[in-house]
Amino acid sequence: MSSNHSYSQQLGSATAAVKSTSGGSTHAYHGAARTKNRDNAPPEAGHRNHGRRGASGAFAVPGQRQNSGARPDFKKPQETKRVEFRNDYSNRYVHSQIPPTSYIRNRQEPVSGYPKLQRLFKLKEQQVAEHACKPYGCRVEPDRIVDTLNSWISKDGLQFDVIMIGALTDNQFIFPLLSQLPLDRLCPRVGFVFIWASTQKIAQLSQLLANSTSNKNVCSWFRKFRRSEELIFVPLDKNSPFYPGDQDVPEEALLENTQWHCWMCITGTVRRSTDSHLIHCNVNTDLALENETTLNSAVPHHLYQVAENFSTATRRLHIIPSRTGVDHPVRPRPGWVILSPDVMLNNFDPDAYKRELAGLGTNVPTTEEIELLRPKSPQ
Amino acid sequence: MSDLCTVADFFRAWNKVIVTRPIGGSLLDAFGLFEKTSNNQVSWNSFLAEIEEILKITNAIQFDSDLDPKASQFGELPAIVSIDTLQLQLLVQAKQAKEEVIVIKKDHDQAESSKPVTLENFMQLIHSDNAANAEDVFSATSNKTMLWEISQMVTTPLASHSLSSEKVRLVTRIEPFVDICDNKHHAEAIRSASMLNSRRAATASTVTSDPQQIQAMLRGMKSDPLCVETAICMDHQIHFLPLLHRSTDPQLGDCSYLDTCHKQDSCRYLHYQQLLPRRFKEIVGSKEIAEHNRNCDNAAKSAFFTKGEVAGASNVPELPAQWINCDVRFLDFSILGKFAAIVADPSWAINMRTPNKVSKDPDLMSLPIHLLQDEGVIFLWVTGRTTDVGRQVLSHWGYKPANEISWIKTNQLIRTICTGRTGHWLNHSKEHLQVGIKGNPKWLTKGSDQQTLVSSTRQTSRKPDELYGLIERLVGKKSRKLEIFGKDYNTRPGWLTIGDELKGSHIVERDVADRYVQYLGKA
Repeated sequence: MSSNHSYSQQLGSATAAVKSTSGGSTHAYHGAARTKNRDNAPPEAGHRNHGRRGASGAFAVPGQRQNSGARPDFKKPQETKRVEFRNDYSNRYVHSQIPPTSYIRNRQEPVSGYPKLQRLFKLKEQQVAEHACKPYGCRVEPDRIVDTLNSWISKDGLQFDVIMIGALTDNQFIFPLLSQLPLDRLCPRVGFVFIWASTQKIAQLSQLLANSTSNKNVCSWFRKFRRSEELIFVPLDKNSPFYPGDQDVPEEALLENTQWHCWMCITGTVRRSTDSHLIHCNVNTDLALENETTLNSAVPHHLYQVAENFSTATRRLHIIPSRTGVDHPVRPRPGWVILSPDVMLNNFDPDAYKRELAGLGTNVPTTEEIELLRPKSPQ
Repeated sequence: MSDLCTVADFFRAWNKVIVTRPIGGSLLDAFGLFEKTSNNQVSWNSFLAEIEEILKITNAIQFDSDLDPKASQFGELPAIVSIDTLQLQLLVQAKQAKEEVIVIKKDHDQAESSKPVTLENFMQLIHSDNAANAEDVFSATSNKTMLWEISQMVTTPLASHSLSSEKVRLVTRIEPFVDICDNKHHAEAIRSASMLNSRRAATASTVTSDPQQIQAMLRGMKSDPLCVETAICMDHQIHFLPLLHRSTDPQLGDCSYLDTCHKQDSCRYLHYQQLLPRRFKEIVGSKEIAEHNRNCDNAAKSAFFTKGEVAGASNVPELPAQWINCDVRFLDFSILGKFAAIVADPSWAINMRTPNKVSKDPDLMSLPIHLLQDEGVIFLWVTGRTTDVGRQVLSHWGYKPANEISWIKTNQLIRTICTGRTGHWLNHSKEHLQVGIKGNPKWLTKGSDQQTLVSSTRQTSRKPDELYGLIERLVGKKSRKLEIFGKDYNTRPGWLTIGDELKGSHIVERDVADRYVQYLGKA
């Protein structure tokens, strides 16, 4: 049926030796008979595979002496360092339907085992909370979002340093909106944009944006931003409100979708060694896992935290350009203005916001202890 | 509150929800919502009567046609077009003022006892988990049956998916699996037992402890139920024993590298030793597992569900591992034949620390990958910067983006890697693998694996072996598979590995060997 199998019929037993072009060393073609010895096999090749299947003594089993492998081609590792037993969580998934990510042991406390980092996370959270404006929501229909932003820019002179776009819902036609958003005017000289999308959308997005560099009419703002990191969020299991489900035609999907992607884009010049008043690098990782404390919402709280821990800016805006439904309530968050047709709160007033920010300042100040604890790049 | 006020207040509070979709001004649905939200028992007829009453006093509620209660019994109801909240509010206030003094007093008492609206209370309210559940979405409107049916239709897994998952389960060997204990108290008990043990042996510097001794000690402490419980747990689950050297300072926490740390003897951070359960052999070698693994090949031969299966594939033996040491840039790919799956892990030019020769983007682009597949899948490891380049390279080679796999990197303790400035702006706990598809391969077994791999890190740039299992389930164990830029540890049965860091060459397929010899003769 497929040409991929035609060659495998011709299993040869020929042995041949030829001179190689590179280096002139001799290559040996082992016939089928010789392969069993694997005398020319690389030291570790296939070791794990066969060793594990035989449940052999490569691993320290209490109460049992190590014996050599059950398979004839098993070879003891050359190194004396003990080989620890490893579970194959993908294989486990095939047999038990328990997702591999549910075996991750720091799901509940991401930095457990690292007391310094734990302390830093706590301090950052307190510091961010102390310098946060009250939660603002602005309830706007999807087709009025661009007009609203334009009016904020031209009438009220509002600017935001951190802008998050999108939510963990596939119900968003994000590209038409992205191309219309006046992000270059909404962001000051240095700014950070987080864009959320599904695996399919993120692939489409990168293709469209790649084209936008040639087509000047499309997405003019994006040329000023550069994509700097890609975050992912992985839901707990299939019952999670964040489970992305089959976004493709299910018959066509090669793999089960289990993750959401987020681009972190930066505009302007920031250096991680000198601009510590603007950014704190390497605090969070590019991976967020849902755990038992995650509430159902449009965007889980971890993801706001990544932005808050990274940028010290206090002016933060979240644009959700679509309805998210009752399963994904848009919960207001201190320190953020949330623009969405479904946000729980509708209290945004540009003047009040400007007054509040005048008191807060545009950046969260750092403390001595945070400076001491946070990961720093060599000067 | 009188019924009139309740109804008026309801329309005031829910004005936006009532006029917009999915309720869309339907009176019947509005009543459904009213019943759910209001404590007062008001019948449908009196609900309508109260609305009429409101309309007599104000024109706060606008309908698209006249409201006629008699017609309402036959389902001919007008839809609400708009609601004037100010009028309704004034109406409620005026009506309440007329009501008896006692009611006002009662309201006053309530107001005093209610909590002041602080940010804290507000956030509590926001984060309460009693947001409407999915059932309510359907039960709030008269379209509930339809909505439920649509939702069922969208979320029910396809039979083909369930069948192929089941087939994959039957033909895939069960790899040894042992649970890892996640109980902090157990870890603590093992730690103290181990310290006691090493003190007794007067060899505080011994690197490894005998798990059996620890277990025996724990079992001996019959007075402490936790110790006995831990000893029993050690029969079945993996535990981690903290290793204390003279230089170790437990206050500092875990080492970022753990078992891959190069100076474990002098490192001041904590390292761990994996303790396999005593019944390890029984767990991984249980009868059921052995039975399943014996039957795997038969299951492939006698499967009832053969969608996506290559005819006769089950009778072809799996190819042994093959590899060719070569500079991939100059190898004539036409000698290799065609492959069902290709994996490539180029050392992209960004990796400045890796000693490997880097592949430059144009070099990679110019590889004649089109010679290797007529139809099939390709897996390309990318790093942050090269995500876009990777997509361009794939489309240049003639592939459509099909998916993206994330490898979540874990450490010895199966925790995600979160330290060590592993990225430029954020730390990196995962790596990306782009999946491209060419042609329309009908022989793929789709959807049996997830997009996410969880596997612990090994040597620098060594990728997880779980990927091979995933690909073998997708394209079949016996189809030809190619790895480009492979190392010695990548060679494995069913795969041909090419790269310049392999030791020698080893070709089993006669035709490939012949063509390779010819090619070498020419060159």
